[in-house]
Amino acid sequence: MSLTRRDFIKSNAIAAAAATAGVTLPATKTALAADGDAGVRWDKAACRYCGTGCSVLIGTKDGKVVASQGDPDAPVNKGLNCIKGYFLPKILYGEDRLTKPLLRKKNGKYDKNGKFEEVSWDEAFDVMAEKWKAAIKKSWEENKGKPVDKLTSRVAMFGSGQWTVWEGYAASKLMKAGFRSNNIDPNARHCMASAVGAFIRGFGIDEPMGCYDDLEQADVFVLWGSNMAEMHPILWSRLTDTRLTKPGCEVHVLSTYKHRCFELADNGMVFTPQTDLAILNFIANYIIQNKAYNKEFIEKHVQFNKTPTDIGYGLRANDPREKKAKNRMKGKLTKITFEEYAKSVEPYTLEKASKLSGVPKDKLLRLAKAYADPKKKVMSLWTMGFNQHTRGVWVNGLCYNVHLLMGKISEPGNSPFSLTGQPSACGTAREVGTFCHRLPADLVVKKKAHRDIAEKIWKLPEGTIPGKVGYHAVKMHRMLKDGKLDCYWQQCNNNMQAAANMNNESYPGWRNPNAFITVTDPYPTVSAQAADLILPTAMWIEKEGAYGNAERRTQFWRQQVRAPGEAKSDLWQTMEFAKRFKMEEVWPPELLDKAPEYKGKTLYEVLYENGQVNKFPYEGKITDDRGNEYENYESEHFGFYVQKGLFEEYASFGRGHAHDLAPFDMYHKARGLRWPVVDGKETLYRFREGYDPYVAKWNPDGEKGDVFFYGNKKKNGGKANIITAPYEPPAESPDDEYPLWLCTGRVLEHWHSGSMTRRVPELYRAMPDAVVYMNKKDAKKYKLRNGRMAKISSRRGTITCKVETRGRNQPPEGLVFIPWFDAGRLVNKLTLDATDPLSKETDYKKCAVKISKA
Amino acid sequence: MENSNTMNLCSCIVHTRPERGAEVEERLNNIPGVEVHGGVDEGKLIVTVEDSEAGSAGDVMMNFSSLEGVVSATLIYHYGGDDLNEEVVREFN
Amino acid sequence: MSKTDEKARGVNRRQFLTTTLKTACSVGLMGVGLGFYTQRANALPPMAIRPPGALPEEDFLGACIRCGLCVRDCPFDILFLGQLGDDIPTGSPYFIARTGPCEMCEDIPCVAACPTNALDHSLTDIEKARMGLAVVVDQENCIAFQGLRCEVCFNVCPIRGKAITLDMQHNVRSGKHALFIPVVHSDACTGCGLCEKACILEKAAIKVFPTDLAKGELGHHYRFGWKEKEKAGKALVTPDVEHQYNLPEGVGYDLQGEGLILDGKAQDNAPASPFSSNPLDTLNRKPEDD
Repeated sequence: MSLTRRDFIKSNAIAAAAATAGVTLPATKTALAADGDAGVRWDKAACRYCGTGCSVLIGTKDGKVVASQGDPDAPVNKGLNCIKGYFLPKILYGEDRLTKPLLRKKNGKYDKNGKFEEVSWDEAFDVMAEKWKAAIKKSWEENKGKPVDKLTSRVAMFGSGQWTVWEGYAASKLMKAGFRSNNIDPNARHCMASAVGAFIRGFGIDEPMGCYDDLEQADVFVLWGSNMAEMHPILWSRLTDTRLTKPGCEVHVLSTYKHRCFELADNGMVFTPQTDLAILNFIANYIIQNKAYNKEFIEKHVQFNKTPTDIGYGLRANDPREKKAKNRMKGKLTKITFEEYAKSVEPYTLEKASKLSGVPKDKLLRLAKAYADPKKKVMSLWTMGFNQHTRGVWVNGLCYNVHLLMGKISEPGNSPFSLTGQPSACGTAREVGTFCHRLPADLVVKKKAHRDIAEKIWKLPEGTIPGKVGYHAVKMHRMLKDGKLDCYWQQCNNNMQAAANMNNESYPGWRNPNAFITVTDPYPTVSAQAADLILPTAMWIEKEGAYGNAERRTQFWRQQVRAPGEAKSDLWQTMEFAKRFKMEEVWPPELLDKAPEYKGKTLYEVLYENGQVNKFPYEGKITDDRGNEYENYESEHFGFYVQKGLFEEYASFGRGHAHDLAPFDMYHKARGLRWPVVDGKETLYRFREGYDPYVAKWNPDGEKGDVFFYGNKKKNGGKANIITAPYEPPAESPDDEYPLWLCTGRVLEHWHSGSMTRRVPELYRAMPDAVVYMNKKDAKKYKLRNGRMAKISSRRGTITCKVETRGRNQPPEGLVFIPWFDAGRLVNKLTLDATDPLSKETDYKKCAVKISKA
Repeated sequence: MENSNTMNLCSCIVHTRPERGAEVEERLNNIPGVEVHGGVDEGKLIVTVEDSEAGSAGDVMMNFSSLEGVVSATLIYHYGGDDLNEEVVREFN
Repeated sequence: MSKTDEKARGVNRRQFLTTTLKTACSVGLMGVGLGFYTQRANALPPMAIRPPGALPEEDFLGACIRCGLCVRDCPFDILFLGQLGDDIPTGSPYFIARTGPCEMCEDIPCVAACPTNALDHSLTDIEKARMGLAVVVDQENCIAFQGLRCEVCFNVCPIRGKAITLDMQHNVRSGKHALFIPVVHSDACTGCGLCEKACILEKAAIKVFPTDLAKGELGHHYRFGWKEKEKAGKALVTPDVEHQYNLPEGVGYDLQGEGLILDGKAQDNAPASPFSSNPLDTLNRKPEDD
């Protein structure tokens, strides 16, 4: 409904006259009659934002989203939303949506230093394909005579944990099979890579064993580096309710600064950055010293290991910190005994842990006792505090160590739970395997047997998929800067605002004259500004989609409205771009000779018209069980039910291998299903007989209700790995010149880089610009005033923002916190591109800065 | 879009004998910029007048009393402004 | 939008109203339907809030010489002066929380600028200012009351955790979530209006009103017993005696706590049975462990 001032005045004028005359008019003439919800079509969708996976109902009328509500039938959120979810429809209608491809041009031709001009899709793809073909040719020359496990590539794609499942799958297939490049990585590298590393090392299979029902089942909750109150608002609401209603329930919160979760905490602990490693080792030591560990569980289900130490910080090889590291990037496990393990944690006494961390002894003791009490069910929760950590894989693992020592795992309420940041970090990035080292369903490119499986499903000749791990997110930028990567295509995220050390790595990489950068985005983001070609995309419910949340729940939605202008979904772009390549241009002759039937065909035909992806016909519309009709642009365009074909082919990777997804159509009916879905039944708790059908299948002689970590069934007979790892200092700590820790993160009101939420006026008003949260004493010390501007500098850059000393985040002295949602204050100019050497995930939580009056 | 500096919008009550309401309504509706919203049966027609090619709202209204069947015309509300076409209520946009 | 734009827009709105009025009056036919436009309130309209340190309204109007120095010295340009045709005494300063709340400068430049003490110079701690009082006026539309996770007012409140707190309650409807209900405390709220500005609703559900308009008053005869007890630090009369009860074996009674305890758990922490409530604990144990 749109009203001009004329309508409004007129209505007042009529009302005034009618009132004077004492005449009653029909309602429509006077009142600005609300339309009501008549004619509104309602359908479900998964929320666009975090890993919680709330369901919303979308009301559309006349091709436009006019209303929304929390989905009362969704088990995750039961009709509730956070404030971002409340405003979901508005993200589609920002005034500066991109609706046409834009290319940098000078004198009518592409020019790296030109200005953005509107171009047709044809011209956009022509220019892009030309660049990609040249880069692929160059890669061929460099790869001459190399075996398949040594191949490199000059083309790369940077994807997303916000991609729909099929967008990630189609992209992964295009890169790994089509362009034969493992240089595809998602922004989940910045988010969940450390969690993945620990799952694989500990359990041989990715993703949590428990689920959100633990939020009601546990007696004790421990938050490790997770501000759930703001980042997982609806899950926090569930946890809070359990704390309020369950006798004896207690909440422990650990963080490097006080945040909203401390309001509920029974035991709130602010620790010195990086010392979570020491605290966890102390808890393990406490459990062992007090003989509280579950002896039987350990004997039956646990293998003890050690991991190489002094492994560096994932910086460039010439950095002095890397040169000093004895075991740079090493992570091979060595088996040890329980006694050796116990000895390794022995130095972590209460005194030592308290001294290192700055947490009072009584608080640490209370925490350790909660874990060590066999009667208390403990749910540990963590997000970026653990993952964005130069020892991220280690620290994730140390938390599993504690749970495994006690046997508090894989049963209701006893749950080490890695929360995801993004709506489909699990569903797309991890399960589809859009990482530079992965393939679908936990397969990896390094193993020939795994590549064989993928090649068979994809109908490719043996040796198509390269065996060398590609460039990960951080390395892509380094390679762009070093001129070893020529073409880079970013979809569904904003890496120029996200990747650390923007001034010295990301920006010079993207603007390298040899590089051709394509950014697919609905809005003009910081990334788009730094690109050479911008492709406008369809968002969220402007396409049919699927997301997988943190508890292994896969959720679908249908296309609700059309994308504006010429904007086309990432899926359309990926598949359409494939049409631009003949097989002869992307595969060398010796490979193509192995599949002569592919000669003369396009990449699109080989990958997507393979008899599987195009197996399901499209009837011209999608109809739901109530008879409502929906469009599906991609299927209309390509002539088959694209999403269904991609999903079913993808699902064949995991079915029968403990990654079972249900049939496609079932997801359009259910409010999400938690995999593995076997015989139509969901799995709530993995690795325990009775809950997980795979335990009986792979451990047929096991007892009823027993645990079997089948991810490791070949490696060590189905045991979980406890991996000892020590405290090691962070890559950069405060010193005289840069005396403060900088921690970065999010706020409730904004999603990631703010490209969507900052376009919602109400959210912008609620949290307009990034501020630097700091301690009052520090503000005084550096002559700063609340509300006034301050200049914050690191060794890598400087930004200015408003000082906030009385805000929601209350850092201790010596630490400042700046959220990263603000494109006007790019905190990634300050952050250090140090990563966990094992997971390659950046540590956004620790670097050194100084601050002064602006 | 029409957007002269001062757009005028008035409402008035046009009194008629109740039995002649309908014919006066028709006459009024034939004048550009004039719209009858009700009150026909009561003989108190609720009318809005906007500036139009037939003249300013004021001029048009002055002539109402000379129309056949009209007993009197009374101005109730006048708005003069320059932002009549500005949107004031929008949903999700 | 810059502050000057907002001010300019304010003038336009007033022009709109006065234009409407003038015409109607000149015709001399004030219909019933127009009556409400002409009403001129004598009191300060509820959305106009005086700057920090303002004396009680009547005293303030007596002391304020309409010099505009407070407006000039406000670093955030939030203060307006009442203009002819406004419902606010001409020339007197005010701000509108929804569009421009008080940013609560630590040095309170507006008060320092006041030459007459209409803005009380004894106010030196901005947190002691009482410009008005925030009130959650609409519990039906405030989404926090429905269990949605908003709490923007709580988050922006500069008197953190004191002026607005969150009352966490069980959400009976969903059965497994909590409600985070914002509660304003008049002993800490300065009436700065940041909460009203930030409220994400179309129309704010939390609004700042002049204090006398916002606050209720308890019957002069009545005291809240538990508060008086807390104030006194002890019970005002002799506490209850210790009670004894006739109870069957295994049943206890916790007078101050949960009352009748049927499983006897409250008296000792010994488990009611040798088995864990979770059968899996038992199933996982081998006989020799016990």
